[in-house]
Amino acid sequence: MGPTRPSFLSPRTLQRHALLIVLGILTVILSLSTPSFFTSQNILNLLDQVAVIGVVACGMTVVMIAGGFDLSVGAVVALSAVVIAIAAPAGGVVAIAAGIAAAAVVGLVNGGLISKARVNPFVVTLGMMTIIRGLSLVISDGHSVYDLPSWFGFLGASDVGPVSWGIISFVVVAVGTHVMLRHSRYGRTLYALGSNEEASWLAGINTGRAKTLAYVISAALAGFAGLILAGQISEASPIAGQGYELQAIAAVIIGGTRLGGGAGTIIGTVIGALMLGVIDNGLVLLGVAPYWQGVVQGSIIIAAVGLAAYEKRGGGA
Amino acid sequence: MVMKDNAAPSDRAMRGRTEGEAPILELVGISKAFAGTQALSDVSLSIRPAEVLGLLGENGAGKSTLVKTLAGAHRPDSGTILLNGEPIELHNPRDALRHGISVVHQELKLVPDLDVAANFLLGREPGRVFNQMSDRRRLYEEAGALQQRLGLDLPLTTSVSALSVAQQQLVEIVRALSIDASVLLLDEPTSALSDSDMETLFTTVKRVRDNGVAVVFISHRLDEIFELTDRVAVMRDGRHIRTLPTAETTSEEVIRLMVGREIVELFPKTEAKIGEPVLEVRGLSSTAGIEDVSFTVHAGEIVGLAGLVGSGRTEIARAIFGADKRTAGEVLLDGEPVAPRTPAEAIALGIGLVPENRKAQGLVHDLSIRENLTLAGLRKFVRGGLISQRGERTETRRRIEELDIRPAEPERGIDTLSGGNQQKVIIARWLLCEPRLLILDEPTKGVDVGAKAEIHRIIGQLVARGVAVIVISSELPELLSVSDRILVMRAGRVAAELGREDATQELVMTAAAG
Ligand SMILES: Nc1ncnc2c1ncn2[C@@H]1O[C@H](COP(=O)(O)OP(=O)(O)OP(=O)(O)O)[C@@H](O)[C@H]1O
Ligand SMILES: [Mg+2]
Repeated sequence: MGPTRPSFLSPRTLQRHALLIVLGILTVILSLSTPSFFTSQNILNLLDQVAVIGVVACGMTVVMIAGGFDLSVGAVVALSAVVIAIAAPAGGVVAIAAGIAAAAVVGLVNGGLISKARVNPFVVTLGMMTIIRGLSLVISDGHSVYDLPSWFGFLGASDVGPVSWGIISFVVVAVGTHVMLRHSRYGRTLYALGSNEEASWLAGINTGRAKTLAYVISAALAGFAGLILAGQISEASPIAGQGYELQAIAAVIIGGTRLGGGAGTIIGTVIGALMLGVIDNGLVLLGVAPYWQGVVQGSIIIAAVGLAAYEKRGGGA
Repeated sequence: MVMKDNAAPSDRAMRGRTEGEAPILELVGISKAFAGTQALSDVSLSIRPAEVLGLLGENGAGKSTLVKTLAGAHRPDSGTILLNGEPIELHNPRDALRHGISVVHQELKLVPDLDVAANFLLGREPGRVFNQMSDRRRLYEEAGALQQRLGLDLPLTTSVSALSVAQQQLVEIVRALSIDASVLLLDEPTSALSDSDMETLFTTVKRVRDNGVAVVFISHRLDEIFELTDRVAVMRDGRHIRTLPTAETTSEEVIRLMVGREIVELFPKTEAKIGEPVLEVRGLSSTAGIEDVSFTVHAGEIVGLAGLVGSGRTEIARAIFGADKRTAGEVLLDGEPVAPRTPAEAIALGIGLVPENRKAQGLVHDLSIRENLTLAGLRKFVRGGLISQRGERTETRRRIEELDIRPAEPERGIDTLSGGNQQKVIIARWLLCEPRLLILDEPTKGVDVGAKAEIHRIIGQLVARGVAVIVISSELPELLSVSDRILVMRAGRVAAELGREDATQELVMTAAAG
């Protein structure tokens, strides 16, 4: 009997490498065709944009590995920014804590409804998305807050050398969620839950709590992304973050996380987010009308999921 | 092969004429490898019309792979399949069906949300696609007629997910039999069935055989093989070892061929010192339908739970384990009253449960052997908030060795293991937790003779260490030989309690049937 250790050519690693290869090819093509692409200025710009979606996508990965789904994250991005801006007079730490806490409460409600009341995650988080968007408009009275204190821009706008704190935050979040998923007991729980909930429960996993916590993590990270975004654009807008939920889900799926749960990696999600960022950025630089972005993104998602299904059937093995 | 036809012209000898007949299905040099495993190597085998061919072999011998190859679910790497002498190519399950090859797979393949009738006739519903509604009545008529012919009485309008495993198994069998097949492949169809359902199945199988259908029947229970089959084919390590007429062989010979060595005793019973009560159950009732159940299990004791499928054996286990809600009565563990509300709480108290339905309740399909094995006891390996990889891997390797799980590759996906080896992983999961009380619900379902003896040996080791054990099994000879005491369940209540010396198959059956 020969060894079957995950080799370089096993379907999973192959898919991960395929993603990297596609990303590399894209980068090379764009570098050659538009001189402004491969400049440090543009790359850092691109990474700044990826950072916000990337942080949201890391939380989404956690929920999706556990077999769930979270459509409310885009609205939570706005909620947290608005709450922080309004609470700003109370001081930086308090305001930020209030914003992230508000986000986490949304996650708690999502998780509670999904795990205790057993409402479908799609329905719960879709409803929550419109509720939270509405609430953000209510508490901000429909206006963006512009006169933000100086600490507000810290994560979004200030740099360490050439790199912004936003990018560094993304890296930290990615490493943190990766370690949690791969090396903590809770992470293992999430994979088990997404794969077979009943078996997990009978093996002593508190499935309700584990699920709820996943939604709390997702929402809290969305709240954190809201802070980065507001700093970047120097504006706490109640309509910020629209469509982020779909972009995050796109990054997660392109990154190889299984719809329905049980399998997925943060590394894949990071590559997925980078890919979306590079494509968006490239299309702009190439002068393609922004309307095409959606078309290209959608095609890539379908291609990625199709590839995964093909490999699962053994066609690629 | 020539059959010595010197016996009186018995039923079986009469059918011996098929010996000379041309095979309907022939496999020539079939090989199939999965990453790292040669599941089938150079298998040649012929299947004749109007016979039941028993397929025997240890867990992982390649039986299911062979069936899947004939069902069009796997493509062989090399070799030919001949149907009536003509080579055929099976690219997918539809091809197999078109050639009259019908299959009941080891793992059920029903559509849980559809009702029984729809599952019977899945893909072959009467009427046209756009005219489904008006054809509903015909669907139920046909489904009804179908099960009547087979002497069954399943609730046609109930969705399959609401049925018991045994009933689901029957639905699958009816579906396979409803196809006008010339070859019928049954991969462990009896592993979930009660005795009466088994009778129904056997009668049916014999009837289709007498109508000229070739049947391949896989089972780990030799009594069934000897009752039902005309010839037995033995497989070992992916190879076809030998095919013998059933009438001319013995279980000893078959086991020797399967295992490649002698197995001395099938159910070795190790004597353990019986100590203080570990589990005391008093007047227990639950929402799942058990009523006023009382019994005690001592340290070092094995208590067997017997009864028909649905008599409440599983429900007792679930009530103690916190998986079903208790409505009355109390449970004492080591003399202390306990009331676990969830399996997690029961595990923390030192209770373990190997569940009845491996696929739905035991296996975490996307994870590896290692991850499945350590799922319930993962806490052990946590150091500073993170899982100690070295600790987890060392322990996994040790358990794989202890239970002789094959292949011994911790990182292999659990779904690529044979059924018996999957079962050993689930048992290992609970051994790892070192419980005070271990409940095993059908622990040897789908497990080969060698592994079965090993599982009994492991249970023996557990009780020798003073663990209290409850074994639930539909296989009476097994239960009689491993248990120190047997409780017979009927309709949610304890109908009889029999000591090891007094218990006989007849007594248990009588008590179970009421
Ligand atoms: N999809 C797969 N990928 C990798 N290996 C596989 C796969 N399916 C089966 N195997 C391997 O092929 C071998 C034969 O398995 P198979 O399921 O045919 O055994 P079996 O005789 O049916 O056993 P059992 O009695 O336990 O059902 C085993 O070693 C198994 O691990
Ligand atoms: Mg099998």
